[in-house]
Amino acid sequence: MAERFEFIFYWISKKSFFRVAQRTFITLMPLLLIGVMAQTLMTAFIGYDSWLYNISYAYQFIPTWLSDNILYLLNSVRFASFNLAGLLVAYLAAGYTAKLFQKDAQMAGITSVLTLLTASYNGNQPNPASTLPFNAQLLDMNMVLLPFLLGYLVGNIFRWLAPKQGHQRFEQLAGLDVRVWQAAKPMLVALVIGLLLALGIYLFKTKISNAVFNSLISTELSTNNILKGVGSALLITLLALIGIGYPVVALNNSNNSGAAVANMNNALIHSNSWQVPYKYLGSELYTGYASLSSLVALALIITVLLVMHNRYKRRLAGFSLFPAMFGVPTGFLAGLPVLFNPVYLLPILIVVAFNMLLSALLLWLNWIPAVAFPVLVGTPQPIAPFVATNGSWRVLVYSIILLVIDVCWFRPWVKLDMKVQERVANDEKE
Amino acid sequence: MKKNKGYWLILLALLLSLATIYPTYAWMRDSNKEMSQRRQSKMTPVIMLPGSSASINRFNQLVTLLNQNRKEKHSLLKIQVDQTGKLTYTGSINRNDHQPLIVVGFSNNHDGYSNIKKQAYWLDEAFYQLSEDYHFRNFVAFGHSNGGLIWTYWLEHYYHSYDDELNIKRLMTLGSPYNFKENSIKMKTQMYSDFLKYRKRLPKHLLAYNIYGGESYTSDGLVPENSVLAGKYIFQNQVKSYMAINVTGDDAQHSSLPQNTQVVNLFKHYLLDKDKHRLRFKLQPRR
Repeated sequence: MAERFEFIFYWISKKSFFRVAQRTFITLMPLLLIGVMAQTLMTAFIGYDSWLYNISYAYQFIPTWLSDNILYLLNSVRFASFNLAGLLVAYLAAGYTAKLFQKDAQMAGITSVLTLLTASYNGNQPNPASTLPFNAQLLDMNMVLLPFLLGYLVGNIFRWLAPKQGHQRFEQLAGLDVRVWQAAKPMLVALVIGLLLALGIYLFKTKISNAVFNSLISTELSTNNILKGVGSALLITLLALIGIGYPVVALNNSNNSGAAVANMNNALIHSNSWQVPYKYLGSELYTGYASLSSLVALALIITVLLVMHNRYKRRLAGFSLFPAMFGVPTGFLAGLPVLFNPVYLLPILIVVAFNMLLSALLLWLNWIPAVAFPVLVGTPQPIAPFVATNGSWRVLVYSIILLVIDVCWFRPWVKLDMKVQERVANDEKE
Repeated sequence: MKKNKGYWLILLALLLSLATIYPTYAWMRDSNKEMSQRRQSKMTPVIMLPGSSASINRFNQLVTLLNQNRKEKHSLLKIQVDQTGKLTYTGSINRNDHQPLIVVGFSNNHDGYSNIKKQAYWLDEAFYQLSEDYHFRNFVAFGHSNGGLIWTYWLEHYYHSYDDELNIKRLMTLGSPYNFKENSIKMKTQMYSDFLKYRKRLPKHLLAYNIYGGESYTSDGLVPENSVLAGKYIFQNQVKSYMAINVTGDDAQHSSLPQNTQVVNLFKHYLLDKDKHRLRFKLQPRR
C-alpha cells in the first residue's frame, strides 16, 4: 500500500507542471524568508497591535518616533518581498518550463512578465503618475496561482513555437541577436493571451480576489454549522496550498463579523466563553486550531525537524520555526515546498478537518470553552487559544496535545515525501 | 544542522512560548477586565463644552434647571484643561449616576479656527482621561456656540481612535456658527471648508440636533442664522438624522440660549433619560 502511494506521488511529481512548480517556489524561498522575518518582527514584536509590544508595555518606554521608523523600514522589506512576488513567480515558472524543454528560458521569463503585466493592467487608478497602474492584488504573493499558471503556459508556448536551444556558456553578441528575434513569435502569442485576459477582467469588471472569495469567507465567518464550517475551511486551505492565500489572510485579519462580535460581547460580560451564542463559529474553530498559520504549519515544521535528513530542508525548517510559531509560515510553505506539492495536499486537508471536528466535539461535550476573547496579533500559536478563552488551562493542555497529534500524523507523510524526493533525485542523476 | 540541534530548537520554541504564558496571561486579564467593564457600563455621560470666552461655570444655571423637580439629580463634574493639557477637576460623579453631566473648559478659550483646533486637542486629552477613568461605552455631546464647533472638529479628527470601544449617541449644538460670521453659504471660511472636506468621517449612527436662537429674523443677536444653518451641509446625509430647531421668544439671544426654557426642555427631551423613579412608578401594574 505504502509503496503504491509512493509510486503514485513519484509519478505525479515527474509531471512537468509539478517539477516546474517545485523549482519555482524553492527558488523564491530566500526572498520570502526575508519577508517573513520582517513580517514576524512587525506582527509579533514591534507593531502597535503586536503581542510583545503590548504585553511588555513597550509603549511606556519606547518612543513613538523610534518604533514608527523601525516599522517603516520593516514594511519596506515586507512589501519588497511579498507584494510583487507574482512577477518573479511568472518569470521563474516560464523560465523553468522553457528550460525543461531546452527552450530559451530568459526570453520565456521576460515574455511571461510582459503577459502578466498586460493582464493585470488597471487604468482606473486615480493617479497613475504616482501609483503604478496595475492591479496590485494580481501581483501579490497571496495570488500566485494566476502568475504561476500564466508562466507555465508561456513556457509551453515557447516549447511549441520556439526553436531548441543548446546550453551556451557566454554567448556571442551575434548569437544573442538570433536568439532574441527567435522569441518574437511566442512573445506575440503570449501577448495576445495577456490582452485577452486583460479584456476579460475589464469587461466582466472582476474584482480579483475580493468578490470571488467574499462569499466563501463570509460563510466561514458566520456559520455555526460544523459541516459548513469544515467545508469552507477545507476550500480555503486548498486555495492557500495552490497559492491563493487571500482568504486565509482575510480570516486572520478581520474578526469583526457580527457573530464573532456577539461571541466576544457575551464572553466579556460573563468573563468566560462557555455560553457564547455561536459556539461552533467556523472562523474561530479554523483560526484557533486548524489554520495553516495556527497549529498546522507549525506541526509540519516540527515533523520536518524531527524526521528529515536533508540538511537544507532542516535549515529551512529551523529558520521557519519561530516565524511559524508567531503565525507567519509563508517562507516554509514555499521552500519545502508545500505549495503545489501533491504529497502534502491530502494530509494537510485531513488535519484541518480533524482539528476542527475534534475541537467541535470537545465543545459539544463541554470539555473546553469556545475561542471568543480578543487575541493580540503574533501571540505564540500554541498559547493563542488559551488567551482567546480568557485563560482556560484545559484549552492550553488541549492545544499542546493537538500539536503532538498533528506531528504524529505528519510523520509518515514526511517520510513518504523523503522517499519520493529520493526517487526523483536518483532519476535526475541518470 | 545536526539532527540533535533540531530537537533543541523545538524544545526552545515550546519552552519560550510556555514561558511567555504568564506575561501574556497578565496582560490579557487586564485588558479583558477593562473591556468587560466597558461592556457592562450603563453610564452615558453628557459631555458639555462652553463657547469662547466662557468658563467651566457657564452651564451652572442650565444644570440647576435640568435638575429641578428630579428625585435623582445628575451629578456635575467640571474639568479645566490648561494649555499644557493638564486637567483640574471640580465636582464629582456619583457612582450610581447613569447620566452624569461633565463640563470641559479650556484656559485658552479664545475665538478663531486656530484656537478651535487647539481646543479640540485639549478636549481629546480630557476625553481620553474620562474614558479611561469611567469606562463608559456610550456618551452624548453638547456644545454651546464654539463648543459645537470643537465637537465637530473632534468628531472629524479624533473620534476614530475610540470608535471600536466608544459610541457617541447624540450631538446637540446650540447657536454654533459653522461658517463663523459669514451670512452667505457662498463665502466659505477655512474652518467650514474643512468641516465639509472631512464630513465623511462623522459617525453614521449619530443623531444630530442643531438649535439656534432667533432674536431678529436673521440672527440671534450675535451669530447669523445662515452660519448656523450651514451645519446642514455638514451633517445631513452623513449622520443618521439631523434636525434644526429655531427657538424664539424670551432668552433667545445668543448668550442667554443655555438657560432658555425651551432649550432646557429640548435638552431634557433629546439628551437625557426620563427621571427614573417616576418612570418606575408609572410602570407598576395596577392592582
